Amino acid sequence: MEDKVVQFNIDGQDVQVAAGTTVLEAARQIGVNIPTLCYLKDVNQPSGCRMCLVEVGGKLLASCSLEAQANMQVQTNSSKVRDARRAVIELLLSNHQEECNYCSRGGNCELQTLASNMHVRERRFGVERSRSVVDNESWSIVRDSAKCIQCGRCVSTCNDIQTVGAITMYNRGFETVVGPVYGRSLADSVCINCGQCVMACPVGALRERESIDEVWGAIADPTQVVVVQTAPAVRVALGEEFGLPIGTRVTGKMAAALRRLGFDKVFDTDFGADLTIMEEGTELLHRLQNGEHLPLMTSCCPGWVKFVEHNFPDKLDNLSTCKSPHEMEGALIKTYIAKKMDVDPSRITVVSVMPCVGKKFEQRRPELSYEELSDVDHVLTTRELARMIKEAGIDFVNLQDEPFDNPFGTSTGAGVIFGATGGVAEAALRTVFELVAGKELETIEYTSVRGTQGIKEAAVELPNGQVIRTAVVNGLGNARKVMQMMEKGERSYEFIEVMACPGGCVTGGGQPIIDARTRELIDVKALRAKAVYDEDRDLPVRKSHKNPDIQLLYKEFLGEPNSHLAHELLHTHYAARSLFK
Amino acid sequence: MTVEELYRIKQRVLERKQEESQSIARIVVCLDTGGIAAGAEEVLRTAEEEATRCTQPRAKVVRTGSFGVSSLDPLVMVQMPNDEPVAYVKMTPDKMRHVIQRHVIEGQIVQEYTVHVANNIMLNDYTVME
Amino acid sequence: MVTSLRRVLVSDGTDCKAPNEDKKLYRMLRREITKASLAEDVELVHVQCLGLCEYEPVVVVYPEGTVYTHVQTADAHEIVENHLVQGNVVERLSNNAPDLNVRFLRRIEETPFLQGQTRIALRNCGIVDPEDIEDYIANDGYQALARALVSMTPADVIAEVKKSGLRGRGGAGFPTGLKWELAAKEPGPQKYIICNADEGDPGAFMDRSVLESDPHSVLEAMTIGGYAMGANQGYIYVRAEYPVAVQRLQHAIAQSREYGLLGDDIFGTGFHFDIDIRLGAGAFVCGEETALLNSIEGKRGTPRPKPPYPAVSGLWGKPTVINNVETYANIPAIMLRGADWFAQIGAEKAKGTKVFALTGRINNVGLVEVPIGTTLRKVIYDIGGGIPKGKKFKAVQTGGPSGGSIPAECLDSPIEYETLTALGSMMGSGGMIVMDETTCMVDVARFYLDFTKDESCGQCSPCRIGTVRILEILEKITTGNGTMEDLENLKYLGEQVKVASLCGLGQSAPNPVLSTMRYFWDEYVAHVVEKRCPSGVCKPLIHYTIDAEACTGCGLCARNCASNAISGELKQPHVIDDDICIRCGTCAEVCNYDAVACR
Repeated sequence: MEDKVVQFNIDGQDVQVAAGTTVLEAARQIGVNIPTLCYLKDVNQPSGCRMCLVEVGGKLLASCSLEAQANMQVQTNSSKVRDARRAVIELLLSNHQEECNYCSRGGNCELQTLASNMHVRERRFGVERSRSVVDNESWSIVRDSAKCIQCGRCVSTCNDIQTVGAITMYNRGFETVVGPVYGRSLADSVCINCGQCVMACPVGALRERESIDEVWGAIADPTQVVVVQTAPAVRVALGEEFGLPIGTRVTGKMAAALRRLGFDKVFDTDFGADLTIMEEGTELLHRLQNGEHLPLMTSCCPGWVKFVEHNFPDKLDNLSTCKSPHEMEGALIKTYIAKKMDVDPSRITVVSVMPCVGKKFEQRRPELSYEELSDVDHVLTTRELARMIKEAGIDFVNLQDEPFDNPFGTSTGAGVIFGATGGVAEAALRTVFELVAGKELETIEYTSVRGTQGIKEAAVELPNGQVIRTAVVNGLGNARKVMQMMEKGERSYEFIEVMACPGGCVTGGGQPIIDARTRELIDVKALRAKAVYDEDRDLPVRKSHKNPDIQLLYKEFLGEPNSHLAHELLHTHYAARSLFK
Repeated sequence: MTVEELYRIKQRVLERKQEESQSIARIVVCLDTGGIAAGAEEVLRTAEEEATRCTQPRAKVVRTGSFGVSSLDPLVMVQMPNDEPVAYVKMTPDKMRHVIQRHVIEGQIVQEYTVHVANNIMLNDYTVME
Repeated sequence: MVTSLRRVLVSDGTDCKAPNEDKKLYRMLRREITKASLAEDVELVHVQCLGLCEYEPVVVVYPEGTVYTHVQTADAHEIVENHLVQGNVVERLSNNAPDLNVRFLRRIEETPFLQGQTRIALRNCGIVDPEDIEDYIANDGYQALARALVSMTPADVIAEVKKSGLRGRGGAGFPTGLKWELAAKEPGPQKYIICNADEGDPGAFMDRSVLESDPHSVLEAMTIGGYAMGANQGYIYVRAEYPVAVQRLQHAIAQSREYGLLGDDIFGTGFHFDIDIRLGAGAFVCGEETALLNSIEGKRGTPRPKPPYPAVSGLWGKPTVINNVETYANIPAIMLRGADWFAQIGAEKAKGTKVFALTGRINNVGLVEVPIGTTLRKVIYDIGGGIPKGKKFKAVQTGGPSGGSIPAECLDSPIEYETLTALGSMMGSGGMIVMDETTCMVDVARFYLDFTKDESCGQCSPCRIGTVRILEILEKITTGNGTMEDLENLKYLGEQVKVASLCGLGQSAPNPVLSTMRYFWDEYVAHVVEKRCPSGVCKPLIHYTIDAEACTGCGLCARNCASNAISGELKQPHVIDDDICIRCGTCAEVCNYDAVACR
């Protein structure tokens, strides 16, 4: 126990590791990838699936929780190990709804991969199945317990990482079901629709509620003008669904593909992000002047908003009244753009492509509408868009880049960085700083708020001497911590940016799903975030208030930020929700 | 509590028991879940009622745990002054009354209710046929 | 009010050996008693086999306790006339079994059941009043604690327990002294000592008896253990299905605190120790020590992977000792009488005694405490009194649902940890269920898997799903749909679930199946190939047939058949339709000609 270094043996090879390293981790050093299923690094480690068994001294032990001991003799591929792993897969398959060809995770399923690697060729057991609960009442997430393998990754994510606590395991043994308490639906629980459970699930037991058919229907409808807008985080991940490396920027191809799918107008949500900065930056300045309702908390993340509604209803006044970027853009499409195109707003269908499943819920909020037309009509996740592109047979990888349509196609670097955690804060700072200074400034990169760690703090001094103490948070567990610190008086801020998903929107609930092993080895967040910041750097304009189409919009239509019309179209309100009905 | 006090308690209790064993009849009812399921609580209540009738000698009803001889529950032990205890098995309230009358008051062991063995077989535990 | 003047028991073997005798002796005695006008004064009781099968028919007359053997129907008159009327024992019938030693016993300790036992853990059970701490003190209670706290160091205590050779009595058999030593070595200051009183094995009630009859011995032992390992807080995790035990423990703890034997500065030594009770909530898996820890912490009762072991990282991550009730019950005796005394009892690798709950098809049911190493034969026959109704011994299940069935050829095996494991079973917590020829071993396996499957916590796939699949195959077999391939699959699944499961529940769940397959393979094959249950238990596999030669065609069976499965002409042999027959057995019962056979 005193040794800093442990020397032991795996499969006849000597290995040296730091004390405390597990056999699972140590095996990687010699190129052995012991199969795992329930193991999700730093999130879920119950040693329950029994896939990672290794043989030590004749006994089979789970390598994910087995700390390396000096002179231990480990076998990762003995016949005893192989027999046990096969038996585990056979048993798991015997209780799994096998509809791989119909399943949304077909081809990207960790159980399927393991079964294939173990070359299981016949089904020998299985009469009874555990209880099947299909819950599709939530607008964002569908639960299908018949496919659940009880790994617990979703439960750990929801309870320990996100501290939302919407799902748990209830009943015991074979009867165990994963879901909200009292057998309720997710729609009837404190679920805030971040979709991190979907990202954690190795199989198809949790998936997004698909809107693809509705969108095809709108495109096919000759009476409808279908407008699509894409979030900043989509363009740095969409390519992965077509085999491109993680974090490849495919902005131009994405716009091209969308046009080919039949959308009448291809806009960029980044424009909406710039708009949000105009409105929210102004809002922040007002609050700073009045000293009221500080800190200002961002409201572009629907998971965060619902989280506050459930858990911190007394802080609702701190949320910005701004709608999220795509909602703002949707509202303007049905008013400003409708006028410009001379089209009746009721004939316009707005589709948002988001890295998020929470936006599916958000889009349905009745208050996010104008004159009885919902600002946004459908939300597609990045994954759904990829399916549509494949369905249409488009050779995505070889498409030529195309630009977005105007006027909502112009965006600045400030808009695109919304996709990364810290992006909203940085974008806001770029604008607020110059508004207060009244002049152009050199420094526009506030790197202190960049980076993927959970809570970042920065104090930025405005030219007029006022200090904006900023907290940038990603992951709701961290958000809860910050709220608690504020309540205890340990911290004070003027501005808080919260993204519900750990890592921000780049690893949101609607993004391509990367398997657990790859996520251990590759920092997906960092790669996609880097792509976002690269996009920012390559854009000619990098401050929201400098966006010429934004300036035109205000001149022609809105007047000025926080004007009466701006409030009607671009701002919203919130309501407390109880934790249990 | 000091160690000396511990010993004093032990002495005191042993002396009291010694005294009692010379003048008082002890009726010990064994009570645990198994015995209670077999009816030991009713037997205990009966013993407590009937014990009040005993004057020569007086009778004291005591409870203990169980010996774990499940097939013979409920078990009651009767110890007359200056005598060894007698174990009565498969007791019922009726039998208890009978024992107190015959054994404690009249001084006659009710042999019928004690353990009846033939070689290794205990004959007390039988099943009545319909 | 009072029982009859005389009570006469008649055991004429009606229920087992001689069905055609048709209660003749009983009827004759009844007639004679009535003739002698003694019906009011004599209670005649027809009983099932008394266990004196070689001497039947047997008549016992109370209150004398005279035992008449080999009684013929014709003897009835003489017994009534001479004994009941005139009061003279019929010597001819009471003395015709010279090897039969009949007597009344005075003390409970004289019963053959208790005579063969060596009671250490159960030393106070039945002797002290569990609700009176002073009674416990009068029986040398808390003297061991006094000695440990006042004259010994924690290391001394550990050395003594190690020297005694005491091994955990909960089933795993880990040396207790060593466990305390490992925990003592861990840094404090917060450590815990826990008593596992969850006793989930069906048919086991050893711990229950100690908790109800001698709760203070557990409290005293935990205090000694806390002193030895450096813990100031103890917990007793007791299953809520033991309300009497819970109530007695609460009472005992309250009294202990009142007398200063729990709390601050015990015996003025500066040692503080207290005990609280935690109730279980109906999960067998919470008897597994790490699931127990999770349960106390308020989480789902699922086991943790080991290592780390609780002695290093247990309750709330602190060093924790968890011992079984019976283990604790031995501690005060060891501390008082010395490790050497204890080490003399038992076997070489396992010292002391073990308490068994002897149940099932056995004459003398109850708690048996014998030195480890005693043979199964001694426990079942000498102490247990053998199998009732003259049936043959078939197997004994030790270790509850985690154990296996041991057949007759192993009856002379000593009961020891390693021996039982080698036989395919285990010592377990002490459940010992005896089975006779009317027990179907496949059904026994099915029964236990039904239990384990229900109690699986669900955390690991082999146990959660494997136990269900094993049960499905067993149900296939016991309903007549099994195949030889199913037997192969059973072996495969059993082996894999055993090696791949996370905790002891899953690792031992297949034991009943594997051990019954090892010793009673023929029974499995009969179920699968012949579709026959040799013990006549699995209803779909038993067949009722009418012997055409014995059948007189009276039609009584057909008239009584609940499902109209019997057909036949008057005076012609009748036939049972096997497909319709629901196996109620009524036809066999009513037939006066013994023409209905059941295979």
